Amino acid sequence: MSDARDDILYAIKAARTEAPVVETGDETGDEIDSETKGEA
Amino acid sequence: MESTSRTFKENAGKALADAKLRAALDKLSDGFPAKRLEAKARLPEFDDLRDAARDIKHHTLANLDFYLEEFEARVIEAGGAVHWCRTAAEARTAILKICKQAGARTVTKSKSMIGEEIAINEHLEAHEIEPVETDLGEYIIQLRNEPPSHIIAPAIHLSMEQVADTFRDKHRHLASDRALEEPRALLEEARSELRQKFIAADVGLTGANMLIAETGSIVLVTNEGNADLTYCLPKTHIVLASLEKVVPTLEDATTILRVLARSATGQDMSVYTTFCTGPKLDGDLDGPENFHVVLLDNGRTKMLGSEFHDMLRCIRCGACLNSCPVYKAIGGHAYGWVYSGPMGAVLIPNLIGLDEASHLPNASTLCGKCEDVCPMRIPLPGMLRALRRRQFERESTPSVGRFLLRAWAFLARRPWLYRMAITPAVNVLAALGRRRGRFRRLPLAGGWTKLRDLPAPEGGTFVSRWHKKGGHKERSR
Repeated sequence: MSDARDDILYAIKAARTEAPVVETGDETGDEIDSETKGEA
Repeated sequence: MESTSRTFKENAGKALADAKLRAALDKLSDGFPAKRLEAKARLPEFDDLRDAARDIKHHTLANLDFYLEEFEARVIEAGGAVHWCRTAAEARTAILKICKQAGARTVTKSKSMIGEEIAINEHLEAHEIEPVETDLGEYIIQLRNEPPSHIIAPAIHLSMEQVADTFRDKHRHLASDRALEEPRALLEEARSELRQKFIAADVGLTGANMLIAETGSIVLVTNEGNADLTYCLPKTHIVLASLEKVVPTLEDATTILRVLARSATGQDMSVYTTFCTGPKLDGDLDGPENFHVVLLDNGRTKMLGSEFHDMLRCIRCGACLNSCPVYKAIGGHAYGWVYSGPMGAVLIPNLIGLDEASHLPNASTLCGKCEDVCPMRIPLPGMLRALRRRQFERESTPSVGRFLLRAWAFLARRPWLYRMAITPAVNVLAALGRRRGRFRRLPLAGGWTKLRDLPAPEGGTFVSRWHKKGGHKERSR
């Protein structure tokens, strides 16, 4: 199942790279902003 | 679960002709939506909570890999194991392997839509392991060999008499003349049957309403307490969850819980809300000795970053089903797969393919009620339009329909031409339909008039009537 783990995580990262910047919040997904997360 | 979404139109036709189903669905209108409104009125900050819940999921999806790895690390720290699965087949294999390692002959299950999605019951049965549904609604439909028709009320399509008949037919070891007219009697009988199953089970299989990255915990929400008996009595607990169920913290989970029950059933809180973390520790009085989480993708990562990304915020409350005029007319089975209503009409084409579920994006009036009630503010009508646009672009819709849409778009962009074309047509229809006030048949509208009359226009377009009534002057004041 380790291949599945890698594939899934890779697909998530790839989707983020290809995705347009999302419409709400300040995050682009590249970094975890703990303050913003706390506000959520 | 095998899909019958391709035959949606036939499924819907059968549902509309089923008087018992219509009677059962009529009760839905007075139930959940009214209770949701009452619950909302009791909580002034409800809409602020919806915003907060949306932002939590939004943030989580933007950092999904980070939180999934966090969740996995915490589960392992707590003594559990995480099994990552790309497809339904991989998830079935992982669950069967765990069951075999546990020497399982009986698996109790609490309600899990992902379980339906991967058809785990059929797979276990094929390998001589008995799956036993323990949610009352799921237990009833398992006895009837039917799929669920609603994500939180799986047997909502059935009347009490039908349930009583099912119990008489399947519980042959009980006295045939027993009274089953009261709901309490049905409940007691199911409870008595299930109690033995709970005690005998080797493995408990549950879904998860949420996975908490901060602690490695899973959240189980029920009104019957069946999930608690399912997870804590057997020696092995398997959690089957899709990967978008993860949230960052306990605090985030409690925010989402505050909108979940209110949106689903109109309760301030579900009766049982349980947080499970890993297997039981030394000194714990109860709990499983083995704890496994089966994390399923099954098409979700393809939705990330797409037009349907926001659909992954869905918390499966069912509010959109309860408010949808299409769902309330035909019920859940017509949609032909695990999910139904507006959320199903978006999710099914994404998970099993638009060609397989080509009718579903059109199973909507686009009234917008689903978006109004969605606790996660998912723009469902916009997504249904996006799916229709895809169908149009792929030319997978009938050519006549595409031609008419193109003609409409051409006219709609030229108001003067639109008026020239529409005004005489409306006046002719008004003159023809004046006597009866409606049409039983009309060329090019056979799909509509096959099942219902078309009201005749009263003459003039909306804009011309608006001007006649002086509405334009009032607006400019």
